[in-house]
Amino acid sequence: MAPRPEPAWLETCRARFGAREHVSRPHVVEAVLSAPVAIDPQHPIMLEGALQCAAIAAVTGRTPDEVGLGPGVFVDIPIPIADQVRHGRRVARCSAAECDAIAGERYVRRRPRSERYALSQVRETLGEYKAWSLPVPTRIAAVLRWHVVADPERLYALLPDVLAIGRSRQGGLGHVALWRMMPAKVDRSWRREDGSPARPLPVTSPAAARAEFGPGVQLAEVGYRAPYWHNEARALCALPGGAA
Amino acid sequence: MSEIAKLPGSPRGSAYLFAHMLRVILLVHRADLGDRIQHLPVELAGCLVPLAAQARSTVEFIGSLCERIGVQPVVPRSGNPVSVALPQEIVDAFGFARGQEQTEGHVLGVGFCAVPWIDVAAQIDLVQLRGVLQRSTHFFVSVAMQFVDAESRRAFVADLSLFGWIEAAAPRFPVPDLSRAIAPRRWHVLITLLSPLSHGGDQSGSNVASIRREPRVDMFTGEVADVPFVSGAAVRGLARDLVMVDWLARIGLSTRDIRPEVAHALLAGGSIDAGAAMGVTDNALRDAIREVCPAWDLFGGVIEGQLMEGQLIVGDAVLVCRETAWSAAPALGWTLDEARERRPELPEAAAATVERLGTRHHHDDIPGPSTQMILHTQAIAAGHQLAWSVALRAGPLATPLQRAALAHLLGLLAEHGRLGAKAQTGFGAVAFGEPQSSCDRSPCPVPIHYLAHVAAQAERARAWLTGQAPLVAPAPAPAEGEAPNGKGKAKPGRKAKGAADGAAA
Repeated sequence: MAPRPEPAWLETCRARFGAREHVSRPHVVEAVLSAPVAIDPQHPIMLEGALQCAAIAAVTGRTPDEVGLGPGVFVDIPIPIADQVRHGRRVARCSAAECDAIAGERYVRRRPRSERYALSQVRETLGEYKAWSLPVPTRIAAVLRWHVVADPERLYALLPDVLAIGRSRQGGLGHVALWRMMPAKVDRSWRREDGSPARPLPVTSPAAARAEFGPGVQLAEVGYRAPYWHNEARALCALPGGAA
Repeated sequence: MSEIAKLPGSPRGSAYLFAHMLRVILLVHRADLGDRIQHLPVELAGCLVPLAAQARSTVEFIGSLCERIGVQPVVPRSGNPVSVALPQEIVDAFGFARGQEQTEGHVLGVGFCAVPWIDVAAQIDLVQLRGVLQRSTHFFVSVAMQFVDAESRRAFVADLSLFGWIEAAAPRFPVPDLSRAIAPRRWHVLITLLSPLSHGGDQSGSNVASIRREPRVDMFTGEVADVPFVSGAAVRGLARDLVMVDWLARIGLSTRDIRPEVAHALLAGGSIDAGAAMGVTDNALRDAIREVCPAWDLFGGVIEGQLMEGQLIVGDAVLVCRETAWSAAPALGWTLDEARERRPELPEAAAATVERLGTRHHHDDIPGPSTQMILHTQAIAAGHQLAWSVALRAGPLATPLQRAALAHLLGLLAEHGRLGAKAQTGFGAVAFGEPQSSCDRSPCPVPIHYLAHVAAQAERARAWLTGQAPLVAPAPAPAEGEAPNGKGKAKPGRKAKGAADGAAA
């Protein structure tokens, strides 16, 4: 089957925000948070997804679902973070977020406006009109920090369009007040100082992972490339311990 | 510096003095309280926070607390003011007079000094105490109800480790360097409270409807404080109601004139129905919905089986106070340096709340058991301000229509002039300030384009909402027995579990 033609905006996105290998250098990116950030306890907080959304908005002015992205096809959105192939998979040179944080929780509520609907009765306890109040686990932190190998000029241009990090960001969580980007002397995008994984890194087998990272390494089948929820970007990975 | 020397002026010191003063007041009146002592823990736990929030000084707080319990801060038989026996090192650290040093015959004996309650109260910082009380009233109740023998009491009074949790619960972060930082593109709005604002907290353990608070890091000091706020989701929900009802009115409809599932989508975001073709992205339909209803483009949700993202990113409306001066700076029109310099002008977060006491009375003429109850409402006091921000995901590429829709929304919020809960009882009157852009120099949007667009699309919108005509020509039907996504068999007649009962009114 012939490959799908690439949409025009993707080419523009690559030209404006794709990482240029010859200028990409190690940097530290910091998000100064003005609100708690929602987390998924199973996954670290990553930067690439937020950058992809911002890149799409900066090129098209539209949201990812409006430009035809969905679960059906995996589209690699260019961002100013360099990639490197590891065991046959392209992995971004970007660590998971590091931070000192306090665990928190925020309830996100929804109630139907039942009295306004043209129905004689509305059941709010189940079904399509169900009211809910869901706890969202959060982290209260001053700064989230990522170690990246990035094209600094293009990343600097994109960061002002990244308004928030994590889930529930449309309703106040994960809001970034300020971004900072500083050159780094050492590349810690994949491995921490102690040699442990700094982000989910694909591995060929549990035995190979233990040989590479030590016997205590955590392993799971998770997303290794943004969008992390996509089935085509999942693999057995060595996980970073103690990430945000 | 020793542990005791750090007590004066600290939340831990205020908590220590208050806990032991309350213990002594209860101890001297223990016999007078009789059977009431059994219910006292619950009563105390419920009233400490509201009474502290209402009082203007610690002395006033102790006075109203004694009144609530039905005692006086005096020793019953002698009529002398209650005195709190404290270890001499602590007496010296706080600078209390050592005139009433205890001797062998006294209750706690050598090494302790009795300090009149009024002197102790003068050393308690009420703002700090409010903050600690909000963290755990039960701790203070437990300390105050420790009726142990004199020998155990000596060790108990001298034990500062009991109060160690107060510092552990208030961690400190390293102060980040905020220089050479990039601010995301947002519009910042300052909201001024014209009456107390109530917005319910996540937990409630008493008859006090507490204000919603969340720990926030003060980037100038690295300290963490519980700051009252109105969640962005709540502001977004209010904005959604206002703009959607306004849109329907502009096209000559009300929410009851349209299909209930569409009304639910417009007002509450809709829901994913079982059997809906969620895997099918109908771009023609999506574009048509965004065109006919620009407000939908801002909020998104699930409509006509399409799960759509919105353009609008709404921030929390956070109290402007000393602890949030750094993040409120854009709304205040300050630079970060100005905010650092002027933060002492702002109130402390713990001092910004008030308690409105309420009672639902029993009516003798209504038969049945009494439903009288006391319900207090904690609120941010009138006159305080909230810093709020809003942004469009498209940033500089937002269309004139999207900007105009946002401008109209901001206008509706300002016109509505209410935020938070209990608006019917006078809470939540607010004034919205002019939006200020954080970094792009674009002028504040105006709504003219939105209003003209809505008028031009009114007929098409009415036909869609009332079911007279579809928004777009229907796509060719899938082959019989085939699901819209082309995989497997469709489940005919499947309906959402628990869907609304009853026919359309």
